[in-house]
Amino acid sequence: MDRDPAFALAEKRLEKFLQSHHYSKDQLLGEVERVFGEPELVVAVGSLMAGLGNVRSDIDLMVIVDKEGLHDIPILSFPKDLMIDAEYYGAGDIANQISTMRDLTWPPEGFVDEALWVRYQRALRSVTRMESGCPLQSTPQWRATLVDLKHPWLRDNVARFWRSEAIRFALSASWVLAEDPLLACIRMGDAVCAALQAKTAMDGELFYHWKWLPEKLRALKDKSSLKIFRKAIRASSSQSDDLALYSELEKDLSSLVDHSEFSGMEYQLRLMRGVKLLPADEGTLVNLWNTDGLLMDKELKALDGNGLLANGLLAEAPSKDIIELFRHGACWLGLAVRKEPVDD
Amino acid sequence: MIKKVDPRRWVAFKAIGISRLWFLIEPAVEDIEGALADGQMEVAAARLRNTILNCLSVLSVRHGGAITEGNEFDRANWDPIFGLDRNLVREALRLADDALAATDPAGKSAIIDRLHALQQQVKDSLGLKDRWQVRNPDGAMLVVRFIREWERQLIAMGLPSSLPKNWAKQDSPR
Repeated sequence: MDRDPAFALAEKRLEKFLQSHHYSKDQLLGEVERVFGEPELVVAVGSLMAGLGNVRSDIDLMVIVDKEGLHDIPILSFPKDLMIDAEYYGAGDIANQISTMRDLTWPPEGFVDEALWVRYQRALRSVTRMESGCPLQSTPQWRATLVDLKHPWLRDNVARFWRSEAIRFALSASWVLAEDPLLACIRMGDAVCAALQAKTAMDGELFYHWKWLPEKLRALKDKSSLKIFRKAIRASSSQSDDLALYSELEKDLSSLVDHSEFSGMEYQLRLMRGVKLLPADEGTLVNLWNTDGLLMDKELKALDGNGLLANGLLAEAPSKDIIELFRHGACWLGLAVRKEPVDD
Repeated sequence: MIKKVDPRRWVAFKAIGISRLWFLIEPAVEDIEGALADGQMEVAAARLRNTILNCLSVLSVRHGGAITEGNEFDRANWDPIFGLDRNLVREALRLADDALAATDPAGKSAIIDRLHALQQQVKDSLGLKDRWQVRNPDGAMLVVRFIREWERQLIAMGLPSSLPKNWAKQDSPR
């Protein structure tokens, strides 16, 4: 395949890895199974292709075939001293994931639930893996698609997702701070890491897996962010330290994310999977997987057909009862762009 | 000796614990060893923090922690330390801090030892002892069978699957 400037860096990284293992691109392609049909696209992906990874890292292959119903079917092979993890996907499935990333800016407008959040997150993972990958075999159409992933729309949507996640984690932390400052600190640390992910994405480092965040910061020579990162994963030593650390992390977050970007957002709290509301003489029994129960002294009903328990602007905290349900894992927190009612 | 237990909570603890040990904790330990060996101290520390939280979450399920589906967590909605003593949690999390400072081989080796000790604590709490041998193919197959056995119990009780989506045979109940 001819050298293409769009993939020059990934090709260089792949060649370096293959040379060190005395292996060739053709041999790598030979590991691809043809049982699902001739691949439309084979891309070498993973942390090494993104310029990250370490001595234990291997090469993964994303294999796209024109077949319905295939979604991340993994097949491992072990040629020489390598482990090759080939993941097989249906072309339609991957095309849908790319459309999701292109057409849906996160947070979504009006409605959010866990299923939609999971779908977006999976799309983000697959698409950013492809973006940093090195194509080994492709149709012209898929090659054009890969080149398109290098354009700013993907970078902008990835960064916005992470900024929105930072705000969601911070909200979640603030709601549990009074009752559980240690948990609040852990979540605020995660909020800061999400904000740093957004920053690295804007600087061109889109690779999804958060464990490589410090290496991305190193690659970008961003020493001040690396210092913030080290603080974000720190453990507190006591309850008073929790509060001090929380406050510092909150300041770090404010320096990384402009909260005004999310002023038109609302939180939505929906019943977690496996949670049911049962009317009781005393009020409502909140039943979690028929294993735990929370008895509320008032009537509680979902506000819509999708288990919405509460929603409101980010500055408006839900009632204490609802926060208590959230703290016990009875409801799922998501963010959405508030949809203004349309006048007749 | 007879100990009274809530059977649904007990089955959830065993199935979720074994699943997290196999799918999340074991691979992470290898990752951490790799990062330490390569001098990627922040990567090791970040991975340690997450792995410690996964270990603690297993202990937490026994003490009323959330029963979750699969093993992809939304961390904004997940409390991995529910019901656990705060000193135990702080002590465990300190390991990640200490990794940042462990630059010499002895320091790195001490980090790995402490991680293995925490991992062993999780295995002991699950009553695994010698039944957990993942370093050879026969042992690994036994572990996989073991995971499937507990998964069956979990589903029979109407609880959500603890396996990744491409492993789970049946749809979990809603």
